[in-house]
Amino acid sequence: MDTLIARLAADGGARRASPWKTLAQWALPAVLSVAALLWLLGLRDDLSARLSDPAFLAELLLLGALAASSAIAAIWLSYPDIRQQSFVLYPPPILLGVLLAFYIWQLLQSPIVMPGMDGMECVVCILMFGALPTVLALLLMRRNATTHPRKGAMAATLAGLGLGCLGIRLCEPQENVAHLLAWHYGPMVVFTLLCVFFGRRWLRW
Amino acid sequence: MEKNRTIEALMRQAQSGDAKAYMQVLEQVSAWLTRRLRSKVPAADLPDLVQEVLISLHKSRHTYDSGRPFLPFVAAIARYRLADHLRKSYANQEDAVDMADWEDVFAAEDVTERLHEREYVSKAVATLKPNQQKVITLMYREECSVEETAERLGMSVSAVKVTAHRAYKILRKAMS
Repeated sequence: MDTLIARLAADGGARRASPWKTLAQWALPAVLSVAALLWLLGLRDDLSARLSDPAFLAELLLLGALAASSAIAAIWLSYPDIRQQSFVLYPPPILLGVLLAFYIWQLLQSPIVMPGMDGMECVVCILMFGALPTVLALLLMRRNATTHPRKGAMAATLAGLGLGCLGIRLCEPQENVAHLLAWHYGPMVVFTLLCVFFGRRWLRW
Repeated sequence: MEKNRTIEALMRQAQSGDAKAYMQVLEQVSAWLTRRLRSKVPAADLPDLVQEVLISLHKSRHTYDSGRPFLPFVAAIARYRLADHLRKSYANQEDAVDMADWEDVFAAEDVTERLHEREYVSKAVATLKPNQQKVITLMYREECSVEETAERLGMSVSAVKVTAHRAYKILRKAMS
Protein backbone atom coordinates (compact mmCIF):
# COMPACT_ATOMS: atom_id res chain seq x y z
CA MET A 1 0.00 0.00 0.00
CA ASP A 2 2.78 2.48 0.90
CA THR A 3 4.50 1.78 -2.41
CA LEU A 4 1.30 2.46 -4.30
CA ILE A 5 0.69 5.71 -2.39
CA ALA A 6 4.28 6.87 -3.05
CA ARG A 7 3.94 6.04 -6.75
CA LEU A 8 0.63 7.87 -7.09
CA ALA A 9 1.90 10.90 -5.16
CA ALA A 10 4.93 11.15 -7.46
CA ASP A 11 2.64 11.22 -10.49
CA GLY A 12 1.92 14.90 -10.04
CA GLY A 13 -1.10 17.21 -10.07
CA ALA A 14 -3.86 17.14 -12.65
CA ARG A 15 -5.51 19.81 -14.74
CA ARG A 16 -8.99 20.41 -13.34
CA ALA A 17 -12.01 19.57 -15.48
CA SER A 18 -14.47 22.45 -15.83
CA PRO A 19 -18.04 21.28 -16.48
CA TRP A 20 -19.05 24.55 -18.15
CA LYS A 21 -16.12 24.35 -20.51
CA THR A 22 -17.09 20.76 -21.33
CA LEU A 23 -20.66 21.89 -21.94
CA ALA A 24 -19.43 24.53 -24.36
CA GLN A 25 -17.23 21.93 -26.08
CA TRP A 26 -20.36 19.89 -26.66
CA ALA A 27 -22.84 22.65 -27.46
CA LEU A 28 -20.91 24.48 -30.16
CA PRO A 29 -20.15 21.51 -32.46
CA ALA A 30 -23.57 19.97 -31.77
CA VAL A 31 -25.48 23.10 -32.75
CA LEU A 32 -23.21 23.71 -35.75
CA SER A 33 -23.75 20.14 -36.98
CA VAL A 34 -27.53 20.52 -36.73
CA ALA A 35 -27.33 23.90 -38.49
CA ALA A 36 -25.20 22.38 -41.27
CA LEU A 37 -27.68 19.55 -41.85
CA LEU A 38 -30.57 22.02 -41.86
CA TRP A 39 -28.74 24.07 -44.47
CA LEU A 40 -28.26 20.92 -46.59
CA LEU A 41 -31.81 19.61 -46.19
CA GLY A 42 -33.52 23.01 -46.25
CA LEU A 43 -36.00 24.46 -43.77
CA ARG A 44 -39.71 23.63 -44.09
CA ASP A 45 -41.61 26.08 -46.31
CA ASP A 46 -44.24 26.87 -43.71
CA LEU A 47 -41.78 27.52 -40.88
CA SER A 48 -42.46 31.24 -40.46
CA ALA A 49 -46.22 30.57 -40.35
CA ARG A 50 -45.80 27.70 -37.90
CA LEU A 51 -43.60 29.76 -35.59
CA SER A 52 -46.57 32.01 -34.91
CA ASP A 53 -48.40 28.95 -33.50
CA PRO A 54 -47.76 28.93 -29.71
CA ALA A 55 -48.04 25.12 -29.50
CA PHE A 56 -45.38 24.62 -32.18
CA LEU A 57 -43.09 27.19 -30.62
CA ALA A 58 -43.56 25.57 -27.22
CA GLU A 59 -42.65 22.19 -28.71
CA LEU A 60 -39.44 23.58 -30.21
CA LEU A 61 -38.51 25.25 -26.92
CA LEU A 62 -39.25 22.03 -25.01
CA LEU A 63 -37.04 20.04 -27.38
CA GLY A 64 -34.23 22.56 -27.03
CA ALA A 65 -34.57 22.53 -23.25
CA LEU A 66 -34.62 18.71 -23.27
CA ALA A 67 -31.40 18.55 -25.29
CA ALA A 68 -29.68 21.18 -23.12
CA SER A 69 -30.76 19.71 -19.78
CA SER A 70 -29.80 16.20 -20.91
CA ALA A 71 -26.37 17.44 -21.97
CA ILE A 72 -25.91 19.06 -18.56
CA ALA A 73 -27.06 15.86 -16.86
CA ALA A 74 -24.62 13.79 -18.97
CA ILE A 75 -21.66 16.06 -18.15
CA TRP A 76 -22.53 16.19 -14.46
CA LEU A 77 -22.91 12.39 -14.45
CA SER A 78 -19.35 12.12 -15.80
CA TYR A 79 -18.15 13.24 -12.35
CA PRO A 80 -17.98 10.42 -9.76
CA ASP A 81 -20.13 12.34 -7.26
CA ILE A 82 -22.30 14.14 -9.90
CA ARG A 83 -20.61 17.27 -8.49
CA GLN A 84 -22.85 16.67 -5.46
CA GLN A 85 -25.64 18.34 -7.46
CA SER A 86 -27.89 15.42 -8.33
CA PHE A 87 -30.85 17.79 -8.83
CA VAL A 88 -29.58 18.21 -12.44
CA LEU A 89 -30.91 14.71 -13.15
CA TYR A 90 -34.56 15.73 -12.70
CA PRO A 91 -35.23 18.13 -15.61
CA PRO A 92 -34.70 15.69 -18.55
CA PRO A 93 -37.31 13.08 -17.54
CA ILE A 94 -39.72 15.84 -16.49
CA LEU A 95 -39.37 17.67 -19.82
CA LEU A 96 -39.66 14.40 -21.77
CA GLY A 97 -42.76 13.51 -19.77
CA VAL A 98 -44.35 16.90 -20.48
CA LEU A 99 -43.60 16.58 -24.20
CA LEU A 100 -45.02 13.07 -24.49
CA ALA A 101 -48.02 13.91 -22.31
CA PHE A 102 -48.79 16.94 -24.48
CA TYR A 103 -48.79 14.86 -27.66
CA ILE A 104 -50.72 11.97 -26.18
CA TRP A 105 -53.32 14.47 -24.97
CA GLN A 106 -53.50 15.99 -28.48
CA LEU A 107 -53.84 12.51 -29.96
CA LEU A 108 -56.82 11.78 -27.76
CA GLN A 109 -58.50 15.10 -28.61
CA SER A 110 -58.99 14.47 -32.32
CA PRO A 111 -59.55 11.54 -34.71
CA ILE A 112 -56.40 9.45 -35.02
CA VAL A 113 -54.85 9.34 -38.48
CA MET A 114 -52.71 6.21 -38.56
CA PRO A 115 -49.10 6.92 -39.55
CA GLY A 116 -47.70 5.28 -42.67
CA MET A 117 -44.59 3.11 -42.82
CA ASP A 118 -42.70 5.89 -44.64
CA GLY A 119 -41.84 7.18 -41.17
CA MET A 120 -38.60 5.13 -41.22
CA GLU A 121 -37.05 8.02 -43.17
CA CYS A 122 -37.80 10.25 -40.18
CA VAL A 123 -36.00 7.85 -37.84
CA VAL A 124 -32.94 7.86 -40.12
CA CYS A 125 -33.07 11.66 -40.29
CA ILE A 126 -33.26 11.98 -36.50
CA LEU A 127 -30.31 9.63 -36.14
CA MET A 128 -28.37 11.68 -38.71
CA PHE A 129 -29.03 14.89 -36.77
CA GLY A 130 -28.40 13.26 -33.41
CA ALA A 131 -25.40 11.01 -34.12
CA LEU A 132 -22.61 13.57 -33.81
CA PRO A 133 -23.97 15.26 -30.66
CA THR A 134 -24.49 11.84 -29.00
CA VAL A 135 -21.03 10.52 -29.88
CA LEU A 136 -19.43 13.82 -28.85
CA ALA A 137 -21.22 13.76 -25.49
CA LEU A 138 -20.02 10.21 -24.84
CA LEU A 139 -16.42 11.07 -25.81
CA LEU A 140 -16.42 14.09 -23.50
CA MET A 141 -17.82 11.92 -20.70
CA ARG A 142 -15.02 9.40 -21.17
CA ARG A 143 -12.46 12.08 -20.28
CA ASN A 144 -13.90 12.11 -16.77
CA ALA A 145 -14.92 9.26 -14.47
CA THR A 146 -18.58 8.36 -14.25
CA THR A 147 -19.91 6.10 -11.53
CA HIS A 148 -23.32 5.99 -13.25
CA PRO A 149 -22.48 4.70 -16.73
CA ARG A 150 -26.00 3.63 -17.67
CA LYS A 151 -27.65 6.90 -16.65
CA GLY A 152 -24.80 8.77 -18.31
CA ALA A 153 -25.28 6.92 -21.60
CA MET A 154 -29.03 7.60 -21.47
CA ALA A 155 -28.50 11.30 -20.81
CA ALA A 156 -25.94 11.62 -23.63
CA THR A 157 -28.27 9.83 -26.07
CA LEU A 158 -31.26 11.94 -25.05
CA ALA A 159 -29.19 15.10 -25.55
CA GLY A 160 -28.25 14.02 -29.09
CA LEU A 161 -31.64 12.68 -30.13
CA GLY A 162 -33.39 15.68 -28.57
CA LEU A 163 -31.43 17.83 -30.99
CA GLY A 164 -32.28 15.29 -33.69
CA CYS A 165 -36.00 15.68 -33.09
CA LEU A 166 -35.62 19.47 -33.01
CA GLY A 167 -33.77 19.39 -36.32
CA ILE A 168 -36.35 17.29 -38.09
CA ARG A 169 -39.21 19.47 -36.82
CA LEU A 170 -37.54 22.41 -38.52
CA CYS A 171 -37.26 20.70 -41.90
CA GLU A 172 -40.18 18.28 -42.17
CA PRO A 173 -43.69 19.72 -42.58
CA GLN A 174 -45.49 17.04 -40.60
CA GLU A 175 -48.37 17.72 -38.24
CA ASN A 176 -49.93 14.27 -37.84
CA VAL A 177 -49.68 13.69 -34.10
CA ALA A 178 -49.72 9.90 -34.48
CA HIS A 179 -46.81 10.16 -36.91
CA LEU A 180 -44.83 12.35 -34.50
CA LEU A 181 -45.36 9.91 -31.65
CA ALA A 182 -44.68 6.77 -33.74
CA TRP A 183 -41.71 7.98 -35.78
CA HIS A 184 -40.14 10.88 -33.86
CA TYR A 185 -40.62 10.67 -30.12
CA GLY A 186 -41.19 6.92 -29.87
CA PRO A 187 -37.84 6.04 -31.51
CA MET A 188 -36.12 8.76 -29.44
CA VAL A 189 -37.32 7.04 -26.25
CA VAL A 190 -36.54 3.54 -27.54
CA PHE A 191 -32.97 4.39 -28.60
CA THR A 192 -32.36 6.19 -25.32
CA LEU A 193 -33.47 3.13 -23.37
CA LEU A 194 -31.39 0.80 -25.58
CA CYS A 195 -28.25 2.78 -24.74
CA VAL A 196 -28.61 1.68 -21.12
CA PHE A 197 -27.18 -1.68 -22.19
CA PHE A 198 -24.05 -0.12 -23.65
CA GLY A 199 -23.36 2.48 -20.99
CA ARG A 200 -21.11 0.32 -18.85
CA ARG A 201 -18.97 -0.69 -21.83
CA TRP A 202 -18.77 2.74 -23.46
CA LEU A 203 -17.97 4.67 -20.28
CA ARG A 204 -15.58 2.26 -18.59
CA TRP A 205 -12.55 3.82 -16.82
CA MET B 1 -15.12 17.42 10.59
CA GLU B 2 -11.80 19.16 11.33
CA LYS B 3 -9.99 16.23 9.73
CA ASN B 4 -12.31 16.49 6.69
CA ARG B 5 -11.49 20.16 6.22
CA THR B 6 -7.81 19.27 6.45
CA ILE B 7 -8.27 16.69 3.69
CA GLU B 8 -9.98 19.26 1.49
CA ALA B 9 -7.24 21.82 2.05
CA LEU B 10 -4.62 19.15 1.37
CA MET B 11 -6.41 18.07 -1.80
CA ARG B 12 -6.51 21.67 -2.99
CA GLN B 13 -2.73 21.84 -2.54
CA ALA B 14 -2.34 18.44 -4.16
CA GLN B 15 -4.24 19.59 -7.24
CA SER B 16 -1.81 22.50 -7.50
CA GLY B 17 1.05 19.99 -7.75
CA ASP B 18 2.11 19.53 -4.09
CA ALA B 19 3.19 15.86 -4.02
CA LYS B 20 3.65 15.82 -0.23
CA ALA B 21 0.10 17.07 0.34
CA TYR B 22 -1.20 14.47 -2.10
CA MET B 23 0.62 11.69 -0.23
CA GLN B 24 -1.03 12.81 3.02
CA VAL B 25 -4.43 12.80 1.28
CA LEU B 26 -3.89 9.27 0.00
CA GLU B 27 -2.73 8.02 3.41
CA GLN B 28 -5.77 9.48 5.17
CA VAL B 29 -8.12 8.18 2.47
CA SER B 30 -6.52 4.73 2.67
CA ALA B 31 -7.14 4.58 6.43
CA TRP B 32 -10.70 5.84 6.01
CA LEU B 33 -11.44 3.29 3.27
CA THR B 34 -10.01 0.43 5.32
CA ARG B 35 -12.34 1.32 8.21
CA ARG B 36 -15.41 1.76 5.98
CA LEU B 37 -14.94 -1.28 3.74
CA ARG B 38 -13.83 -3.73 6.42
CA SER B 39 -17.39 -4.92 7.09
CA LYS B 40 -18.31 -5.20 3.41
CA VAL B 41 -15.71 -7.60 1.99
CA PRO B 42 -13.66 -10.55 3.31
CA ALA B 43 -10.43 -9.53 5.05
CA ALA B 44 -8.34 -11.14 2.30
CA ASP B 45 -9.96 -8.91 -0.36
CA LEU B 46 -9.76 -5.65 1.59
CA PRO B 47 -6.23 -4.51 0.60
CA ASP B 48 -6.91 -5.13 -3.11
CA LEU B 49 -10.18 -3.22 -2.97
CA VAL B 50 -8.60 -0.28 -1.12
CA GLN B 51 -5.83 -0.17 -3.75
CA GLU B 52 -8.40 -0.22 -6.57
CA VAL B 53 -10.24 2.71 -5.01
CA LEU B 54 -7.00 4.67 -4.54
CA ILE B 55 -6.03 4.10 -8.17
CA SER B 56 -9.52 5.17 -9.28
CA LEU B 57 -9.27 8.25 -7.08
CA HIS B 58 -5.93 9.05 -8.71
CA LYS B 59 -7.39 8.64 -12.23
CA SER B 60 -10.35 10.87 -11.43
CA ARG B 61 -8.60 13.50 -9.28
CA HIS B 62 -9.05 16.12 -12.02
CA THR B 63 -12.83 15.88 -11.54
CA TYR B 64 -12.73 16.94 -7.88
CA ASP B 65 -13.76 20.52 -7.28
CA SER B 66 -12.20 21.79 -4.05
CA GLY B 67 -15.32 23.83 -3.32
CA ARG B 68 -17.13 20.56 -2.50
CA PRO B 69 -16.65 18.21 0.46
CA PHE B 70 -14.03 15.60 -0.37
CA LEU B 71 -15.26 12.50 1.44
CA PRO B 72 -18.55 12.20 -0.52
CA PHE B 73 -16.40 12.31 -3.67
CA VAL B 74 -14.24 9.43 -2.34
CA ALA B 75 -17.34 7.56 -1.12
CA ALA B 76 -18.91 7.68 -4.61
CA ILE B 77 -15.79 6.12 -6.14
CA ALA B 78 -15.59 3.54 -3.32
CA ARG B 79 -19.24 2.51 -3.87
CA TYR B 80 -18.62 2.08 -7.59
CA ARG B 81 -15.53 -0.07 -7.14
CA LEU B 82 -17.15 -2.05 -4.33
CA ALA B 83 -20.08 -2.90 -6.63
CA ASP B 84 -17.60 -4.00 -9.34
CA HIS B 85 -15.69 -6.10 -6.83
CA LEU B 86 -18.81 -7.80 -5.47
CA ARG B 87 -20.06 -8.48 -9.00
CA LYS B 88 -16.75 -10.16 -9.96
CA SER B 89 -16.55 -12.16 -6.77
CA TYR B 90 -20.15 -13.41 -7.16
CA ALA B 91 -19.38 -14.48 -10.73
CA ASN B 92 -16.27 -16.34 -9.49
CA GLN B 93 -18.31 -18.18 -6.86
CA GLU B 94 -20.76 -19.35 -9.51
CA ASP B 95 -17.79 -20.61 -11.54
CA ALA B 96 -17.10 -23.11 -8.78
CA VAL B 97 -19.85 -25.57 -9.67
CA ASP B 98 -17.65 -28.04 -7.94
CA MET B 99 -17.88 -31.54 -9.30
CA ALA B 100 -16.52 -32.75 -5.97
CA ASP B 101 -19.95 -31.82 -4.58
CA TRP B 102 -21.55 -34.22 -7.03
CA GLU B 103 -19.18 -37.01 -5.97
CA ASP B 104 -20.11 -36.39 -2.39
CA VAL B 105 -23.78 -37.01 -3.27
CA PHE B 106 -23.30 -39.77 -5.80
CA ALA B 107 -20.29 -41.77 -4.58
CA ALA B 108 -20.62 -45.57 -4.19
CA GLU B 109 -18.04 -48.28 -3.89
CA ASP B 110 -19.37 -51.61 -5.17
CA VAL B 111 -21.40 -52.55 -8.24
CA THR B 112 -24.58 -53.54 -6.42
CA GLU B 113 -24.50 -50.41 -4.37
CA ARG B 114 -23.88 -48.41 -7.53
CA LEU B 115 -26.90 -50.00 -9.23
CA HIS B 116 -29.15 -49.27 -6.25
CA GLU B 117 -27.77 -45.80 -6.01
CA ARG B 118 -28.36 -45.23 -9.71
CA GLU B 119 -32.01 -46.19 -9.32
CA TYR B 120 -32.32 -44.03 -6.24
CA VAL B 121 -30.65 -41.09 -7.95
CA SER B 122 -32.81 -41.54 -11.07
CA LYS B 123 -35.94 -41.33 -8.95
CA ALA B 124 -34.62 -38.19 -7.27
CA VAL B 125 -33.66 -36.65 -10.61
CA ALA B 126 -37.15 -37.40 -11.99
CA THR B 127 -38.59 -35.02 -9.39
CA LEU B 128 -36.58 -32.10 -10.80
CA LYS B 129 -37.88 -29.61 -13.35
CA PRO B 130 -37.29 -30.61 -17.01
CA ASN B 131 -34.47 -28.10 -17.51
CA GLN B 132 -32.73 -29.23 -14.33
CA GLN B 133 -33.05 -32.88 -15.38
CA LYS B 134 -31.44 -32.15 -18.74
CA VAL B 135 -28.54 -30.30 -17.11
CA ILE B 136 -27.94 -33.09 -14.56
CA THR B 137 -28.10 -35.77 -17.26
CA LEU B 138 -25.55 -34.01 -19.43
CA MET B 139 -23.18 -32.90 -16.68
CA TYR B 140 -23.28 -35.99 -14.45
CA ARG B 141 -24.24 -38.92 -16.62
CA GLU B 142 -22.63 -37.84 -19.88
CA GLU B 143 -19.84 -35.90 -18.10
CA CYS B 144 -20.19 -32.85 -20.31
CA SER B 145 -18.50 -29.62 -19.27
CA VAL B 146 -20.54 -26.54 -18.43
CA GLU B 147 -19.78 -25.04 -21.85
CA GLU B 148 -20.74 -28.23 -23.72
CA THR B 149 -23.97 -28.48 -21.74
CA ALA B 150 -24.78 -24.84 -22.52
CA GLU B 151 -24.19 -25.40 -26.22
CA ARG B 152 -26.27 -28.56 -26.38
CA LEU B 153 -29.18 -27.09 -24.50
CA GLY B 154 -29.04 -23.65 -26.14
CA MET B 155 -28.59 -21.96 -22.77
CA SER B 156 -26.02 -19.45 -21.56
CA VAL B 157 -23.11 -20.71 -19.44
CA SER B 158 -24.27 -18.75 -16.41
CA ALA B 159 -27.81 -20.16 -16.78
CA VAL B 160 -26.38 -23.70 -16.79
CA LYS B 161 -24.35 -22.97 -13.67
CA VAL B 162 -27.33 -21.54 -11.81
CA THR B 163 -29.56 -24.45 -12.91
CA ALA B 164 -26.95 -27.03 -11.89
CA HIS B 165 -26.43 -25.36 -8.53
CA ARG B 166 -30.17 -25.31 -7.80
CA ALA B 167 -30.61 -28.92 -8.93
CA TYR B 168 -27.74 -29.97 -6.72
CA LYS B 169 -29.34 -28.32 -3.69
CA ILE B 170 -32.67 -30.02 -4.33
CA LEU B 171 -31.06 -33.43 -4.84
CA ARG B 172 -28.92 -33.09 -1.77
CA LYS B 173 -31.94 -32.23 0.33
CA ALA B 174 -33.96 -35.07 -1.20
CA MET B 175 -31.26 -37.65 -0.54
CA SER B 176 -30.12 -36.53 2.90
